[in-house]
Amino acid sequence: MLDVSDLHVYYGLSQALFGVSLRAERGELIALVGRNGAGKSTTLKAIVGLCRPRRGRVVFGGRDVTGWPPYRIARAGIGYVPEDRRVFRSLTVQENLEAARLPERERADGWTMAGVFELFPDLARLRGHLAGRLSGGQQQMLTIGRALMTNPDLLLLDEPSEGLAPLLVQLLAERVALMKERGLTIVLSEQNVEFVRELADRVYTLEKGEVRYEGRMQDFLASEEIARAYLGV
Amino acid sequence: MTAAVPGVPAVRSWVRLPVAAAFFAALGGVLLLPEVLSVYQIYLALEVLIFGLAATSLNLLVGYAGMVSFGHAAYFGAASYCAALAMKYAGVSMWTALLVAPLGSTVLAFVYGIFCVRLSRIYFAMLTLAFAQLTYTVAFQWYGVTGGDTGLLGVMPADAIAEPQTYFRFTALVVAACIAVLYAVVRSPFGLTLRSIQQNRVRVELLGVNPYLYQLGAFVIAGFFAGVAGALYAFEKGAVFPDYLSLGHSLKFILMTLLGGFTVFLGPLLGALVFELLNSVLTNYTQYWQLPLAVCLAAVILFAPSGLSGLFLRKR
Repeated sequence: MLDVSDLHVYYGLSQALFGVSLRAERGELIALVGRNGAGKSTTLKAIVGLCRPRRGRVVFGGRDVTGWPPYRIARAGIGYVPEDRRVFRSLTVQENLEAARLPERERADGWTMAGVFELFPDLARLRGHLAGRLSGGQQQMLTIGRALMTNPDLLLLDEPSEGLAPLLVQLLAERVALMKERGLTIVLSEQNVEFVRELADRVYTLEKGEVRYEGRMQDFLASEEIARAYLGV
Repeated sequence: MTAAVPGVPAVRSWVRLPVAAAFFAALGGVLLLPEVLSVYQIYLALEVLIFGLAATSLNLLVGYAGMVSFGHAAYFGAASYCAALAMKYAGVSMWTALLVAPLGSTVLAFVYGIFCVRLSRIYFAMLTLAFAQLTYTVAFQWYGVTGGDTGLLGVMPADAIAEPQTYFRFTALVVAACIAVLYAVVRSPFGLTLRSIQQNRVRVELLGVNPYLYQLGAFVIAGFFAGVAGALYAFEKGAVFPDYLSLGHSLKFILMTLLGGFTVFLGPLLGALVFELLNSVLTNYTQYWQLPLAVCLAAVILFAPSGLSGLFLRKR
């Protein structure tokens, strides 16, 4: 479904990605693990068209989407939940979700506002509230809900657990598992391996803009030496 | 498609009835005004309505889409000229001219908009200003067609509405219809997307929306309604001058919007009312009426940054 090959991305003169390649099959949950600055966010940004790779290709659903503007990539079916959340602060929760409706991607079995409210009951309760007044965790739910409203085939989550209270992290993990059950393909970047150890099918570890390890989650956890470096105990 | 969620009341339906009731009550009140106002006051009220509509159309850009246009008078004045030129050269009736004029300003807004909406913030403002000055210059210097600074005279309304009282009622109905349509626009999904773009353009793009198309759409709609106002203004004055296209007019629309408050839909209309009242009262006392007006505006910006309407209403 997603085939990223040999991405080279620069910010000005400094190179952030050195030939990153990764694949995601339909229904898979891929974890992108690495420290701050390893290139996780940059990889996701390059996939959705927020930064243009100098070399390499992003192929999605058989189409080469490299260099497409972000709105076309979103319409092609890639949803993106950025690290910094950024809800539309002066819009209500409900308006945030309504604004994200993408009529041309609506399907009978797709995500609706009711479906999003079912997944995140908190949002239903807060539907009339201004999004800027929500807590960090609630804003995170809203950003995910907003991305779901566009009915993506592939959802990119950039460090979703960052800055959330442990209880919320647990809840979020459950919700991500539910989304996966509904058939969504997910690529998730994380520093926190704990968060993805139960969720992910496969793992890529990134270090200094390069992929260091690629394999199934259980193999990753089994190979103690690698896992210890990332579990960061 | 927006499925109702069990146990959660729908927010929208209960808002609509009072809004409609207030709208028709206000319109009824405005239609009765000519009974009590002097002719001078009727002309004053006419300008409140006409400039109020122009400022409200500008606020679709400023308050909802986050695009501060410094050249909105271009579309206002272009429609005035379209109406006058259509009557003078094509010999059409006032009614036809009134229909043609906003179409002219719409086309102009589309052409200029293609270039302007590609830019943001100060660059957008500067380009809208540049296009407006260009339009002004054409009207000012093309004597053969526009009459230059002598303008075009004899732009008279049809006999049926030639009296100040009837022209006022006619204008009130047209402005009310336009305000209602603009309200529907800002409440629509289109309006919601505009507000999202104002908040965060990149996020909207990541949700699959091409922001240029929406901003161009808003620019064109604003150009249309500014054009309606400009055509009504031409028939109120009975003449058209390059001044209608000037930076002074553009600034007036911005001032009215700021004065009344751009965070509230009716803010610009309130701003137009206060502006015209201040203008008319102050000119009785001093020919330097712009000075106290400037002081008022500075006070509003310093102490009530969301405008006069923001003092009464919760900011949303």
